[in-house]
Amino acid sequence: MNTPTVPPSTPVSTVLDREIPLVGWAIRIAPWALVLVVALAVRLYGFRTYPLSAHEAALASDAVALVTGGDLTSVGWTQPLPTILAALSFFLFGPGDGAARLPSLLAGLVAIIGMARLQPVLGRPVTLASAWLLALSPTLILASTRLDGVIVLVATLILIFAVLSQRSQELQPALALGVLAAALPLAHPLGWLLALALALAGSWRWRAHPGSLSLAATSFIATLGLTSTALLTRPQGLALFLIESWTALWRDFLRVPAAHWTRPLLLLATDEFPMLVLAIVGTILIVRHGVSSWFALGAAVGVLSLLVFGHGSLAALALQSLALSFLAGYGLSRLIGQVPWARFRQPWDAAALGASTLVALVSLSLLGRILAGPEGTVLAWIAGIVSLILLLAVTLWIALNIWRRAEAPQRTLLVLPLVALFILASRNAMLVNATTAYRPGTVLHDGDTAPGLLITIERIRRASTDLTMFQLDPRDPTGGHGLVVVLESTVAQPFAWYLRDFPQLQLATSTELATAAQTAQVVVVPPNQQAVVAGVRPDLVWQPLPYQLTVPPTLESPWGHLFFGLIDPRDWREYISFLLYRRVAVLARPDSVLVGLSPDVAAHAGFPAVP
Amino acid sequence: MSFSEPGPTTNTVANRLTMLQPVRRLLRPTVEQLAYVIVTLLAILTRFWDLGSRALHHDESLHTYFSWVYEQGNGYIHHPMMHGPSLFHLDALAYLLLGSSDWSSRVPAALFGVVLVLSPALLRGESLLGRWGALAASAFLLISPSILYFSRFIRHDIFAVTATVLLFICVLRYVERPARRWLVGALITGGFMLTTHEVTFVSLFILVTFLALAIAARVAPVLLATSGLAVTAFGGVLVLFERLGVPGLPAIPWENPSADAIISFTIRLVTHPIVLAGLAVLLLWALWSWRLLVHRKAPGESWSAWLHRAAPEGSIARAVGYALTDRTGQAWGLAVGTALFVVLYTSLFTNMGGLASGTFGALGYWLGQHGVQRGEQPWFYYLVMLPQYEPIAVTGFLVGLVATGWSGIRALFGGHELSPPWRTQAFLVYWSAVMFAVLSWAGEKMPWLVIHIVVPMCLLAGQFAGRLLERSQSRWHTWSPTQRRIAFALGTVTLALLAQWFLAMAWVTAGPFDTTSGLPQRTTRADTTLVLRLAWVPMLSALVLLVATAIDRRWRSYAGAVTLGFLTGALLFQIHAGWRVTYREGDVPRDMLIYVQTAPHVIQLIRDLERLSLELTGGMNLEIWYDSGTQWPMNWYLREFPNRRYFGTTLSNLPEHPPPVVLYSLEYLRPETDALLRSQYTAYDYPMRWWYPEETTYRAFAIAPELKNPARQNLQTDELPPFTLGDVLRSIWRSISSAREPDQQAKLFRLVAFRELPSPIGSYRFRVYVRNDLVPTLRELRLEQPRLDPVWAAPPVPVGKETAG
Repeated sequence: MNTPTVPPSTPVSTVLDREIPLVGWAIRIAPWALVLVVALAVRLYGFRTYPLSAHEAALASDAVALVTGGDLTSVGWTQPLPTILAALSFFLFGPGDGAARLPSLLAGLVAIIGMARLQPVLGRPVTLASAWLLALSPTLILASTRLDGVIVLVATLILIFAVLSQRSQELQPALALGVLAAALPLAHPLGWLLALALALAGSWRWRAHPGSLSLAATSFIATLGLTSTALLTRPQGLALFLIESWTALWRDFLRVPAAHWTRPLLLLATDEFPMLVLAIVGTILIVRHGVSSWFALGAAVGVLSLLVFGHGSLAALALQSLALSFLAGYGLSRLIGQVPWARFRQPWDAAALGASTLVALVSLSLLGRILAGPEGTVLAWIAGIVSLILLLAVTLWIALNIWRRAEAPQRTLLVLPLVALFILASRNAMLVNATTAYRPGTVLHDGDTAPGLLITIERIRRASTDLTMFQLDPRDPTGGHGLVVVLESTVAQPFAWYLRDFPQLQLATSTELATAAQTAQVVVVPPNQQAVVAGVRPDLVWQPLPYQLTVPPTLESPWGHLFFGLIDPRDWREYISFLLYRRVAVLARPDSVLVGLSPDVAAHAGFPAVP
Repeated sequence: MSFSEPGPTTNTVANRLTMLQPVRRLLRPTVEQLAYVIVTLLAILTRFWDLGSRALHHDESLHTYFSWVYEQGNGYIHHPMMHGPSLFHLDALAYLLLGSSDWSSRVPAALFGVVLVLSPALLRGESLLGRWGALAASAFLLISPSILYFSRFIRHDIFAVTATVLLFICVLRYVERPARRWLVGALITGGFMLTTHEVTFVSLFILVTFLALAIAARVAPVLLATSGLAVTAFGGVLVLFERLGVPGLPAIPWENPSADAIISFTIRLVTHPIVLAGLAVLLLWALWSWRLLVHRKAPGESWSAWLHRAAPEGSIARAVGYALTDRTGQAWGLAVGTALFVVLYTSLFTNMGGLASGTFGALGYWLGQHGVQRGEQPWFYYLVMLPQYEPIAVTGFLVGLVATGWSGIRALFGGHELSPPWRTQAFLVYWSAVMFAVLSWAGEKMPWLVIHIVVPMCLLAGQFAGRLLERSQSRWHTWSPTQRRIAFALGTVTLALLAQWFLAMAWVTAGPFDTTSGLPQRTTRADTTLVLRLAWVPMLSALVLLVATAIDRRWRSYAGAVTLGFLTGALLFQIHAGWRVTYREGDVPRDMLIYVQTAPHVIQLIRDLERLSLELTGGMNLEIWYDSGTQWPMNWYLREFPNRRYFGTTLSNLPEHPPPVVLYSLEYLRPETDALLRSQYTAYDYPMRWWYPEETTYRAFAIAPELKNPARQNLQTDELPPFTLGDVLRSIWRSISSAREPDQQAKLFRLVAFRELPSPIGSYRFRVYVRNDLVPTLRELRLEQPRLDPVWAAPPVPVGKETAG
């Protein structure tokens, strides 16, 4: 009987009913989606293996202060934008290492998406190739997995390029440009230099449209004002930002021109080696094809400026990688375009590539064996050499015979260096945040916190739980964080960050240290301050602790080694070892701090109970 | 078949094309379908991610332990104290399939949580929530902090509320289009619902009374009058009896429900004057109503035929008429629903007594609990809890209440018909309001019950948000680019004003702790009283913007953009609150939503003991003794230790080979026992359970005269009981007016925004005794890895005394 006479309501909704052609989308965006997925994967791999560095921890502490109403330090005022982004992340997900680095992770992905917006100017192959290089660049991966304004700076720059590349002379791009330009100095002090360059470019771009120019300037100033005062709740913020940011720009970059100028070059020779090779190829092709002189010139000027004023900082290295990624992207896209992919359907061309690969591998094996030397077993070594020479001859003969039958064997060979570069780039990308294969010869981890520090933090926390579980008050309503901790101010971070829920945590300058340490149960000091504390607290148990990673001394002036390494075949093996494994003869010792613990804390923390 | 016939080939091709239709549709989904896919993925992610990390709550440990016992083949006997049997069957099934762990224990709850989030998709009809409304409701259920938290909590509430929603969906869909599947579905979900939790009796009451009211209003409004008179009469009788000194109803023998006690109680109950008076009023009402109804019906006409004639198509009364005549549907639904009920309550036919304990036993037990007032929560418990976590649901309910009432009154006086969406809206308002009232009246109030109130409120908020989105969408299409920019700017400005208010409040209220008077207390920044007032300017500006755009005819079309700005702010706040309480501090009672919770130290201890056991015995054979105070949750957490030993409350001596570990609650530990144990053991104290500090947070909101414990009735002033209604109202006003004071504003803001508590949390503690010879091993093991060799220790320790040795 249930004969319904009322039809079910099927309302019409234009947006909800719109069909999404997944196949069409997939074809159009699949290459970009793949880049994003790869970029995300390599960034998430080892995302939290390194603890927050002192600088990151200072920014993170300021972000917590911003969201909970505390006072900011000079670090936060120097870089308000990453502080605000981290504060938003903390508001949503709570304070933690992952949440602190989340904005950088997202900014790294935005940079790649922004690259897609440059397609109308640079063309799809170049932008796609550049995006791949950005995704796999160790420098940018590191910048995307650190709480700092560096990757925000890079992403903003790419977005600015995208806005500038629009043909429109309307007001809207000017508004966006003003906002984006303001983001540069808000993200990093080096952004002031970029903003200055942009101001010049913008003035030229809108020289006939003063309205657009004034709109861009207004939005620039408004963005600076609103952001640095965190939407006007801290009115002194703008002045503090200007003072701190300009001070940092002068102190850290402009005042010391050409400091650590070798680092960017060293980075190119090691972590960014594939990018370097492709950038050289790109530059040659640009010059040969006469494509765009400003393209190469701009990149060259940018790299030179960074060498001089970059101070070897992560920001400088990242900007250098960004600049090179355009050149390298051009080179990569051209090389890929040169490969006759359709030829691989022909059996002889495919076989030619296979045979050539075999020849290359055997040659490499032979070279390696020769460079390794006999190592005491001359006969075995000679036998091996002879076998490899015979094998090489056979494979060479096969290859030559196949080559004669192939139609375009030379150009198919291009695949070999491309694959080799891709493998090297992937390796560099995956290992940049790995601690399992510690590579002392990289400049990227200079200033990072030694991973072992977290173990000591955990020990202190467990001891605190055991000893102060029921010391409760509203500052520590759960209890367990009652240890009195004194941190010498120069090494306070990241300890202050990781022990932020300890209400009795004090920061002391070297002059205040002796007084503060009298009641302390945990003291963290640089080695040269230990005597000061030991004088007033002879009962403390001292534990040396690796604190910050440093660059090996040989890398500060590596040119002699590198030069001879290149011309002397005996050093090639070492050079390849350095290129692949970042092995250096003399390891860098991390900077250390000393942790002093009262005997009861030391016992619970599992440290030797000997004062 | 003839070769000349082209039909089969054409048919085959056509059939193949038809078969490919679903594939084609899959490859070309609509925006709506894609949105549901995203909601589904997010629901799965949010419900299942890190599901096992939070320590099992005391009640959770009871549920999981008895489910595990059941799964191990040792049976399950239903007891009303632990509510319905469905949870135990589902958890036992989870253990059977996935093995027993904290994570697998919560898998059924998480699955039902996902179903709950997706359930509004069945209410997409225009007369129900609408398509945008259903999508919005799903989103609100997804990010509701309380629903998220209790979707990852192995209690009965998530099963009960999901079953309730599904039952109500079946009913609403049946009213919309009386197809048999909805009738059968309603009866089956009804059967399952009754196996979850006793709160479903309230849900059934809500459904039945709403249907009755709707039918009466449609076909015999006079019944509303007779019912009102009956209720008034019964109320008058109750007042009269009270004046005459007639004692209250007899106490339910829930503590000792022996046969004699039940018989005696039943006799006393049915002969009690109040019950007799109630029955008399009921009988009179029924006879009177019957007489009135019979006059409206034609002679010989059946009730269902009468409903068909009297009620229009699409009305509730007409749908009930359809249901009454669909015998097949009734038979199927009742058969399957009853089968579910019987199978689960009898524990797969192994405990026939479950049928009695699941019906009369459950009702009697929980009505008995009303007087016990476990937890002693005041009447305003949910009133103060809801706004802290659910601003969207609460606002949706308030707007719904006003809008429904206003539309109802207009229809009543205007004489026009109310629309089907109004009916859905009215039902959701009724559901929310009655559930809120009943749970606030009930003696036992617990945070997990809040989801029974929040779910209908979320659906209601979804319906309103849907209308807003629908209007915004249609306007967006007709707007010029400039108008779009204005709308976008207004929405952004609203959001920026809210952010500004938050940051300003955070800054002003972040003063130092005052340690001069006992317990340290957070203060506001010095000389910021004026700034605190100014901090409200952004919030007021945003509200003025909303009101102005809503009132001014030229700007009214932009009110939606401003509202969406507010909605986005509320969404961000709910993510903030929900993420913290669910993933970061799920077992730390800084939140009112958490109540009493097992401390994470228990989990840490169990991991340490497992490691110690592996080290010492190569398996889980470590001998662990534990007392009565620690048995929950230790019964669960030590289930894999065959050498665990429960010793009750007293331990007077130790054996020749004392056990490696003894766990003793401080409640039962006597000084002499402590001395005995300390001779051979090293002791560590940890919290076993800890709880939210209610006294210093919300209990002083108002006077609660209904509480039996006089000490908890009034935490606001020094006045002593008894209290009148006037006292209660005055206490509420004092709380509201005290919000003008900067200190109170600051305290409230920091409590809600950052869960900054004005006092420490309370705890039930226990002591872990580790045999002295095992202490060094345990210390090394619990730090997970051996001490780092100082390979990077650059400078040797440069102090003569230390290095000389």
